[in-house]
Amino acid sequence: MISLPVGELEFHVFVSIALFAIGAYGFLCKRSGLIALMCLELMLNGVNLFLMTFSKHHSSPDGASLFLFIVLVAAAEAAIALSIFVILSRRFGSVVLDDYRRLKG
Amino acid sequence: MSEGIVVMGQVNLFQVVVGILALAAAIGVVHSKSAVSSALSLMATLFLTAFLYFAKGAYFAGVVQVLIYAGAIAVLFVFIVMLLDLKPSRVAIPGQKGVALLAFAATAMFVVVVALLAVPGLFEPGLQESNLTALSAKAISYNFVSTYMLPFQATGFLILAAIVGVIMLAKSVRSPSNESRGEP
Repeated sequence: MISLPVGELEFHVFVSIALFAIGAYGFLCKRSGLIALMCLELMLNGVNLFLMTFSKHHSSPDGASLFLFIVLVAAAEAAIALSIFVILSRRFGSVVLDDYRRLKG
Repeated sequence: MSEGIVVMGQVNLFQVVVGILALAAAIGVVHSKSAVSSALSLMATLFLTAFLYFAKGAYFAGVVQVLIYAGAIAVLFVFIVMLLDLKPSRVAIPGQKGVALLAFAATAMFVVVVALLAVPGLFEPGLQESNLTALSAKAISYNFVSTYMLPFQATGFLILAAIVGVIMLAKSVRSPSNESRGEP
């Protein structure tokens, strides 16, 4: 396999931060609730890559354990949030976050 | 690369290609016109990240990523998007000015952190020979029942609460027809 003159640690940290930044950008800019949720998953994915990178760097299972916790919490969060969006879309007829004005009070 | 930076190992071509494809798929999540292609791009990103874990030697994490993230969560997203049948015009609504400013702040943070990567000696030196048994299922599960016992139990309770919550939410969809019959 061809090696490139870039450190593995630096490259993986770059990819994870870029995933987090793309997710944060989408979460803030998208008005559709489902796309915002997907961008939330992207941010969690970036953090997971960060944890696994440093878990390997220090040869410690702590980062890998936190990775598993994040995956489990993300699964629970996705299930709850998606069912909430199914109910909201039946009630309001859309998943655009700006349409839910009743919650503003 | 200067002498001061401690390098875990040079990155190989496979990792670079997979990493850049993962970033491209992540941009696809944000910039797709339709929600279905966003969900499929999300699935691609999660699969490619799993390949990065495999290339790293973290096989257990890669399998978990494929099974739970790409196999369950992303498929759930695709399923819900197909179920709701979203119109593309409602997906690509531009945000307000203030939100765009926040997004610019997020991008600026990214630039700052990437610039920090160029600082020599930023990271503590890792072990010279990477010990892959630390990332094995055995080490992780031992960690779960020793160091992280309380968070492990709390996560189990959280998932139980999530199951109960989803069941309650799914039942409440049919509640308008039930209310006429006097049921809660």
